Amino acid sequence: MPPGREDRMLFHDAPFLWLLLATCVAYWGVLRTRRARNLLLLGASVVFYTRWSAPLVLLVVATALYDYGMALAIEAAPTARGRRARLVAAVVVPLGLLAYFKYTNFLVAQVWPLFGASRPPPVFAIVLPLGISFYTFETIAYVIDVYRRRIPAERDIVNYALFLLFFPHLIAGPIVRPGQLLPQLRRGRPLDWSRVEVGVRLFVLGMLKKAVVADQLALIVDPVFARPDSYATGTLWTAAVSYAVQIYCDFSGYSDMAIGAAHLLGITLPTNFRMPYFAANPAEFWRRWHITLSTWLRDYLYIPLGGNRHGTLMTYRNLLLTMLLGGLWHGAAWTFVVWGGYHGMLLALHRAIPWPAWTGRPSLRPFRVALTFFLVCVGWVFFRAASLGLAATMLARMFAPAAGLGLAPGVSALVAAILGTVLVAHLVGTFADVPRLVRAVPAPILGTALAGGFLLAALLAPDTGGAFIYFQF
Amino acid sequence: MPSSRHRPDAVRARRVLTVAAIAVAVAQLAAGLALDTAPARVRFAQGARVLDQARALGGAPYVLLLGSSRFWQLDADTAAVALRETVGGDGPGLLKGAMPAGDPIVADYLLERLLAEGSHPRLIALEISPEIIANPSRWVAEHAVRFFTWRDVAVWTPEIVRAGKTRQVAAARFAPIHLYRRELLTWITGVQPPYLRVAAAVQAAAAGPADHDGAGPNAVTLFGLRETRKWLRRYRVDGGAARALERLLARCHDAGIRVALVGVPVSSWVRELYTPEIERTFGAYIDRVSRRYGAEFVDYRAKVPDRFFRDHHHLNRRGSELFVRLLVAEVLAPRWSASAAAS
Repeated sequence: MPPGREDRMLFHDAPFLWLLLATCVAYWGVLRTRRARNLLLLGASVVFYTRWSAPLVLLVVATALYDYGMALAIEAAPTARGRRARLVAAVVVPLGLLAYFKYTNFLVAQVWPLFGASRPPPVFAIVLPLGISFYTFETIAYVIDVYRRRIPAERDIVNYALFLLFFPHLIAGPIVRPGQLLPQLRRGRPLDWSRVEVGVRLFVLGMLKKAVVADQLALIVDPVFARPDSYATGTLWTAAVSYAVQIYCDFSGYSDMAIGAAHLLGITLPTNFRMPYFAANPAEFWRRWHITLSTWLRDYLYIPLGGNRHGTLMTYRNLLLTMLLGGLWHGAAWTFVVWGGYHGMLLALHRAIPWPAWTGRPSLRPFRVALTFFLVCVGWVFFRAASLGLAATMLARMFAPAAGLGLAPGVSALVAAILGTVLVAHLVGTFADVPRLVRAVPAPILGTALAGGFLLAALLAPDTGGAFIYFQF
Repeated sequence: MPSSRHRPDAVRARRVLTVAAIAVAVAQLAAGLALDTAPARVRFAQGARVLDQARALGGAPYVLLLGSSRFWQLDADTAAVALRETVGGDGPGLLKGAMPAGDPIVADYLLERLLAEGSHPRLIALEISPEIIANPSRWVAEHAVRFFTWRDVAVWTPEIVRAGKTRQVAAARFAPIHLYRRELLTWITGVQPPYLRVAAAVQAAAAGPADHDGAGPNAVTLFGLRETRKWLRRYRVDGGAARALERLLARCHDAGIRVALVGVPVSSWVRELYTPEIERTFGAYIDRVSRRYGAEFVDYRAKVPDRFFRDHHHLNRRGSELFVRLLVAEVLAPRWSASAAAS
């Protein structure tokens, strides 16, 4: 049974804030050695995961132990063939677990009709372990990097377990590469108040994105996506654009909080978003959106498939295959497969079309950005809809004017204000030197603003504010 | 070279964080104090509605129902009509002051304010059962959220701790901006959140819990029984709820208000939890306070069969209709008539 609201540990809820505060105090104030601090972080990570699912923490630990041992075995293998065989074993087990937990019911539902069964397919009561998609990719990256001799196998089991379980990134990323995190865990980490301040700033920014933007917009998005046949075209477009902003603020807000929490502990996690809705084409979008996933797919799927090294057709095939699997990674449903395929198609088309030189003029960039955003919004309809049928209904009514329920003028104005604020934030993030601006603000004003942001998030968090969207993946 | 602790950027960062921490603490404290002194409608809208309804009755005497969700779910209009028909004439007004988590602590809070405003209840029917006056009060956290001030929390701390509600009460005291966000936003803007709403498409109504059909307790009942069992563990009647009940009875005694302590109907599964020891303690207590303050105890706990319950202690629609008839005919009407004649 999934944990109730009282039991689970969300980044913006009090239990997590207490855990983080207690961990920080013990980490910087009590413990002095690197090993003791790593053990504390490991303990805090287990406590964090246990609040979500006590039995399934054993699965994460078992995965960590397995690939810790397999990486050592790969390194110790005397022959290339032995190394390869051990790599296959190291990859197959976590992938198998992911397939079992995430795709069993989906696969059964697909093959069931092939056997002529007239009854509906059975549904197995399999609980999806939180974060399994994320930590599986991390552990696969680790054994492949050891196999490729990019990094040495980690000797310290605590370091490796912490690499996988470190609580800020455990549930929904950012997907950390071993080369990014393991060296930090091996080093001593002195207390740096400037980093703590940056961490708090990021954390508060993430809270604002989640509570003030994403959870508010969900109040519009959820009912409209549930019954698109009841709403007018304008309302459907508002919901589609609102969902684009909601998922961005939800996921980038989560990432900001994760990166901020890690900063509080002297650890740097990779950037996950870089103003994605200012991308001027689909390829650029994927260099700005969920960066740690797209680079993982590039390095561990697209390039091993051949990348762009074997001709045009193979490049398109590789793009499509990578994005289809990327879509499927998000969830075991055809909506995600279609979403992935749609983006694969956009990437292939973007690459295939011989764009005239004038389209690349800087003055036309706003139009390219608008077109890319429009295409991305259309894709989000597949991603958010509960079924392909509902997605088709929604898209049909978005593109063919339809009558239906609308938004009250006050609600429209409020939605416009929220979307406008996110647009302004994108502009500021793109064109302004934010660190310099922050440094120019007097400390008392900055401190008060931070407190104001924290309290605003606490005040505006709707009752229905729930888990982050990416927790389901 | 200054140490990292004393680098200018580190000094500035510490200053920023210190200011932020102080600002958060001051804002939470200020919001908590503002809520403590705010009108009742801000934190305790249900209580404020009862006071408003009492004002609407003017100075006329009326019947007041006090209690928890078990009384709250009764149809007050049906009861008022039945009472009017039974008593004759215009009949008395009937005010439902019962509400979810409404134990004697809430009842006393309401009555104190009603009397202070010059309201004239002539007869009070107060829901009573062993668990509702147990020590500790299981609803102490709800009371802390709805109307306790800092001073109340200080007085109630031992019972709050015994009830295991420290976390909830601490949240109400130390993080009021988050806990009372709905109330604060309504107070500030005059409009209840959420502010982003779309017209809802027609949805199928959610099914409520199935009534008992004689096949044994349903899932909601089983959960409720587990909760009631916890409630009755190490049963004592010497806590805040009992003190509130005695304060209420004393007020009524002084104001000449007649009080019927109504043992509220519960299912046989709940009655099985009332051990002989619990029954002895409860009976002795009710007997003592009834005699001391001139109240009467009328026991309906075993008067309604299980098929009239939707869970362990809430009546279903037919059960409510049955109980309202009994309550009006056997408790309210005769006592109203008697007290009217006496006055």
